[in-house]
Amino acid sequence: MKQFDAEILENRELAEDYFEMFLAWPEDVRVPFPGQVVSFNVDKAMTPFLRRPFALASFRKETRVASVIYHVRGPATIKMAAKRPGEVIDTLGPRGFYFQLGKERNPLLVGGGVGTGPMVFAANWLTTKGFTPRLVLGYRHRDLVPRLDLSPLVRLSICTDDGSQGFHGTTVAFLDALTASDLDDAFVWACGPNPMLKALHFWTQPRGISCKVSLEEVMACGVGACVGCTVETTDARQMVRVCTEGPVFASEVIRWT
Amino acid sequence: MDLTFRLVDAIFSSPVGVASGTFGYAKEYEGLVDFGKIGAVYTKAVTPEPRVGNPAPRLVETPAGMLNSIGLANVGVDAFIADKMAFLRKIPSLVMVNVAGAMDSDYERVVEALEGVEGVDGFEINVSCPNVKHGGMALGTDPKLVAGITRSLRARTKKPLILKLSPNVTDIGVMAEAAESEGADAVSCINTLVGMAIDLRTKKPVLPLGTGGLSGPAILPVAVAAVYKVSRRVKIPVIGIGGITKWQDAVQHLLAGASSIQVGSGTFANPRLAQEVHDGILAWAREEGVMTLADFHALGR
Repeated sequence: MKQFDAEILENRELAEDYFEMFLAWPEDVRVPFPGQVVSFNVDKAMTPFLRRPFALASFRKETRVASVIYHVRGPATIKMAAKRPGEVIDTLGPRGFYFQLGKERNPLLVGGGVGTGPMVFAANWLTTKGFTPRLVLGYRHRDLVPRLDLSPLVRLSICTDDGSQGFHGTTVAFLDALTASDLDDAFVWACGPNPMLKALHFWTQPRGISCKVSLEEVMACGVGACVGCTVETTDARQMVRVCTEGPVFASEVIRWT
Repeated sequence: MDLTFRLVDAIFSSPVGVASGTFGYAKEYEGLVDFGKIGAVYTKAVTPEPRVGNPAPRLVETPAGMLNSIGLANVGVDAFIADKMAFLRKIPSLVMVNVAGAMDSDYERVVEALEGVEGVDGFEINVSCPNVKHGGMALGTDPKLVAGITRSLRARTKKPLILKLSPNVTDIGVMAEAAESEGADAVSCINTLVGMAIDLRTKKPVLPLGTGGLSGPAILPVAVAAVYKVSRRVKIPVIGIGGITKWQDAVQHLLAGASSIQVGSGTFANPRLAQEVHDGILAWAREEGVMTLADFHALGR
């Protein structure tokens, strides 16, 4: 992990209020993996005061370009969206435990809303490891469905809450409609709103499907020092820091409330 | 120019320290900071037993700052010695252990356990945490209790003893005098201010205990006023903390009467803040012809 000024190469709108920012990744900064996070001090302003963490959405080894997909929803992301190529952004990363393969060979990747970025990264990464992952992404409405840069080997399914595009219903409802052979040797990686992750946990558990989730929490330091981004685990004596023990956790470790 | 600060036998090679609760046990910032420019690391508060801390959410951002409600989550003194001291011994910065508890005996146990531990350079006594139901701030808002805990810990340590004071009192000067009267070597001020943020959607406070501790640039003037007041009420050194996000803020603390400063939640926004403040103070001192910390204080009078 390093703190560095990353040059912004491109900052483009993918859907209504969804942007992808591409950054030059310096040679002396470690290659990031899907699930890992960077944090930005967007404007070095007093308000908003804290850095903002984002999961990476891509990394190209040949060109050393990384990206994050972000939803414009507050003062920091409004300022991010206004940044132009050539400007720099104070970046800290890469950080955190990433998605790691187990013995299962059938990836079901699930993303919702702002959880899109890391699942796109994971899907593209898995194709380089010989997988043809299924990527299921859920949004409220078709205007929020981003234009994504995906490998042709990724099998993409879009779900919308209002049925305006793709499958009409939640990502979990989509998984529920899959056949037994679709779920053979499956494992789930997911990132998105907590209710979706919780529903995925309770959907995978009775089916014996391994489920790893990437959590989002408000962070102050992002390096494990402030102990602010903790979540409860099934062990009442222990909380875990999303920035340090996570952001990727086996879903059975988390106490879903 | 010599901005060295000496507290009993501890020599602070830089006027800049990093505040308790914002720097973990220092290892978290390994590779990100230059410890050679950090005079002292004030550790995450240590209690006799491990503490899980408060439920989530523990943080909320506020105008020019943040509220925290961590609740003294820490590994406990035994694990601190076993697991955290090895790295702390390796860095050039002094190691000031921040000590917390629910009652006097908790503080006594931690200080006794650490008194003989190599690499522990002093204690900062947290009588000002706003996020625990017992001890913490309740201790720090009554001068008799401040005097009592200082007396009891003074009898247990020869190392530098610093009392970290709460701003959530009518007269912080009274608390500083209480600490001084019982043999504290220094006071550090200020800890966080009690604050609250309410969520318009739920209509309830965002933080689980209702209130939390406010830190960040918003509190700079409160902290500078406290340092100014306290440094005129006691003869022991004052360590200034609160609202520092650039070197100019730190110089305000020094001019107000601080002998050393700590950067706190500013580190969250910029991990390199301590060293940047260190460089800025030195450059300013050189420009202004300031040769010692006493010169800063004289300029501010």
